[in-house]
Amino acid sequence: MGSLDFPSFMTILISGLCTGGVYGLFSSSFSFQLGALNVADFSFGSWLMLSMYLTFFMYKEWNIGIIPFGVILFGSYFIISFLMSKFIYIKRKTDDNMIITMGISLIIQNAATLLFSSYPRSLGIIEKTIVVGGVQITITKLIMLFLSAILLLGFQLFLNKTWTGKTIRAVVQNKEVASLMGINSNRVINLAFSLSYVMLAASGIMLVTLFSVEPTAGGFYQMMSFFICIIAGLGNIRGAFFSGLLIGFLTAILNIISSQFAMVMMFLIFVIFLVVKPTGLFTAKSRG
Amino acid sequence: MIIMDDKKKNLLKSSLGVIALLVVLLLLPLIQTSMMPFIMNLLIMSFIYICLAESWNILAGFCGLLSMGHCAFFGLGAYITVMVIIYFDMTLLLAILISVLFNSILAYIIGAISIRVKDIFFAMVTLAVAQLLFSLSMQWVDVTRGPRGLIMPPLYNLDRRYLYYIALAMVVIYVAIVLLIRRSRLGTMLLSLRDNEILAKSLGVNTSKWKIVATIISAVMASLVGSFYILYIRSVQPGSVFTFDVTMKIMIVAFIGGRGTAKGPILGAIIIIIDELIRGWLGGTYAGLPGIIYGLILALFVVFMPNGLISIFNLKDKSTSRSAPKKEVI
Amino acid sequence: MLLNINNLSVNLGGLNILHDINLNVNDREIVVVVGANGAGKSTLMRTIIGLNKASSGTILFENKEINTLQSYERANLGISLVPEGRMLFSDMTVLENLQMGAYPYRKNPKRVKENLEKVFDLFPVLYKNQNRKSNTFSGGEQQMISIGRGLMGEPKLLMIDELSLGLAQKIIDLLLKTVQKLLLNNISVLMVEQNVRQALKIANRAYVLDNGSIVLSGSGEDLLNNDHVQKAYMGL
Ligand SMILES: Nc1ncnc2c1ncn2[C@@H]1O[C@H](COP(=O)(O)OP(=O)(O)OP(=O)(O)O)[C@@H](O)[C@H]1O
Ligand SMILES: [Mg+2]
Repeated sequence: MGSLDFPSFMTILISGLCTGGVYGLFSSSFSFQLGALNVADFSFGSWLMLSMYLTFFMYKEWNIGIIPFGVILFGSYFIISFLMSKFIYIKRKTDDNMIITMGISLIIQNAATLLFSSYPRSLGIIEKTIVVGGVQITITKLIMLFLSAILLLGFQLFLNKTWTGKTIRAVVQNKEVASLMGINSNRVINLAFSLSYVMLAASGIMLVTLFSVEPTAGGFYQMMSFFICIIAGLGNIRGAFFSGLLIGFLTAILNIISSQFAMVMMFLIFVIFLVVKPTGLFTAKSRG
Repeated sequence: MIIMDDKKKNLLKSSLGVIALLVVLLLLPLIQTSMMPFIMNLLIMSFIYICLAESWNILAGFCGLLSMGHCAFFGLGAYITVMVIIYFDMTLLLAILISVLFNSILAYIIGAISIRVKDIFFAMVTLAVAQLLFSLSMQWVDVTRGPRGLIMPPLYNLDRRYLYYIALAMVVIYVAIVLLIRRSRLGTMLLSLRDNEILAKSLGVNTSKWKIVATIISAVMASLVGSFYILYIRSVQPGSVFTFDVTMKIMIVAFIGGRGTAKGPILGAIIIIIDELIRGWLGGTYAGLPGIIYGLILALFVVFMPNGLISIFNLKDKSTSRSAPKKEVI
Repeated sequence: MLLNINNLSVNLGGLNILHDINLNVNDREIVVVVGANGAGKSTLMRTIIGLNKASSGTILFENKEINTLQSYERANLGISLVPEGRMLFSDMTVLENLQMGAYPYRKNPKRVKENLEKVFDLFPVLYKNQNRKSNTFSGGEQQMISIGRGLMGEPKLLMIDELSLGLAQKIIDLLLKTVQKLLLNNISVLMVEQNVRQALKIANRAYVLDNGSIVLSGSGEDLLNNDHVQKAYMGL
């Protein structure tokens, strides 16, 4: 650590913060699934990985623009997840769902190995950087940080201002009471689940601009989203974004301390955190 | 009365079947063919996974706690056993005891953390612990030699036939343990806890305590299998014990046989045999294909045959399997 | 007849909670169910709205059997439940809570607005604080929000579970008066109360639920003067 001068230190931290933003985005969506919709989705990371791959091929090999691609990707994620929620997840117990999603995760991950090989792929975007007082900031990363913040803000606005959003919030808070208002809670949950998948697809597009992707990447992101949403408190969407920033930051620092044991330390911190404050940092509300 | 007779008949039939199977398995190593080492390896691997699935079943079947990182207990058992022998030059027995101790502590911590929060945490925490142990064993090269793993000193080279009998004995004991637990007060307690935790609590069952106890029992069972594994394979690498592949195989064996049943894993072990054969046959080509098949099996079994193969055989072993896979619709 | 329950039994977690319940609610009527803790009052209400399943018996609403309907479908028919413990959407404002009650006709802003005005007329306190988060209100005010939210669904039958739970006398009086006013709007009320004396005073008819069975029924006045009721529930 001693050999590190201040500007390089800041460079690493800011870079960590920016990737933390994207972590925050997909973790918010995971947090929403886990805490709000009560789906323990172990295929989450694999779907994220798949979205990264598809984006990679869209950019490198297929000749379709980003807009049609986005429409197709979001549309298919929406439809697939809606059908899965409706026909599989919503009818079953949590532990059955854990196993089913685990199976789906295995299928996606291994299909990726079979089709795309286990070789890591990277978009290889040439990084433009700006330098402020010796601190380097990568433009792509900065853009991704803002983009994730904006997407989340949009999602929050949707939840707070529209009828559909408010209905989702009501169902999330208390499915039973929502049904007393004449709300078909199950349908709302299917819809909300699909929306979280659209957010997931968007995160995949953004992630692949920053990192390379390989079939096993899903496991790492799954773990990350779990950490982040525990730290935020289950179901806390905004909290998950800030926890994402925090984790991005922390990963950067741990990597400075010892890149070899960064992951190990991360797990330890997480376990300690679970012992000390299992309800999360940003929890305030109790849910009915 | 007629029903009782039927029950007795079935019991007799199934115990006759079990005895016949045991006799065959006991006599098998006496046959001399060139295929024998291959067959014995297949069987020992199956026995290992049967035992692991029994241990997993104690949590999933009795408590409804899904351990998604069961390989952690197993791998830790293997690693600690070999490490104690290599670095501290202790006897095998002591090494096994120490690994059991470590696993109990780990299980206690996991249990204590996860019962404070929702049930899905148990799955997540076990998964995280397995990942932690994987990265630790990869990175802590000075002690674990990283990906190259550790090798058992030649002093403990046991004859394959002894190992076969040890593994077989373990299977018998593990099945017996699960059957015993189920008939004991502990089993009743755990089942009441799984089926209706709120009710169990209101009846004064200390649910947290029993969940921790079950976690420790299960971890110790897996740890012993780990110790056996290092005796049998004689080397251990992070990739062979701490990966999700191992946990997944355990879950598949338990699921295909019948979740939460004592005899189910014996049927489920078929998949281990098929797996070894397919891997031998496909070799390195089509990397990923077995994984896809496993994923499909896992998902399809939960959806279409939630009570596993044992439900076809109707082996009177359904008392802990789930009666209704559906969530109550409000 | 608005609500007609015949031989209803309910089983929860393997336990028989309600046995052979027969109960009616007529148009423009306040019906009160009294009973000790754990008698099964909440279970009864939850079963009527469909949150619990009946194991046998029939529930007729406006002479139509509703046993097989989901709870949201029953709500859409005109049954509202003000649940025990109020159960507001705690991170929503008063206005949002009330709006959720208007969900079935959300596409008709005019109707939503009219009903909001009606609720605000009943509970002027809410009008002043409509943009405050609902969890910042006192217990009595929260009960008003919960009742208001129930009324927003334009119910024909309003069920209230433990209206007076944990509230001061003054507020209970006010809420009970409001409940009486509802009859003028053609809303019938089925309520569960621990505050037996006051509830029976405003009741047209009442039932006593003991250990999952109805042991007594009659006009509010009759039960008020009944020895058993006085001894068991009014501490006389
Ligand atoms: N989901 C459930 N599973 C098992 N038993 C239940 C369940 N819900 C309620 N009970 C039991 O049913 C009985 C009646 O409960 P209920 O809540 O209907 O009583 P209550 O009359 O409303 O009581 P209180 O005055 O305390 O509100 C209680 O003994 C309760 O423990
Ligand atoms: Mg009650």
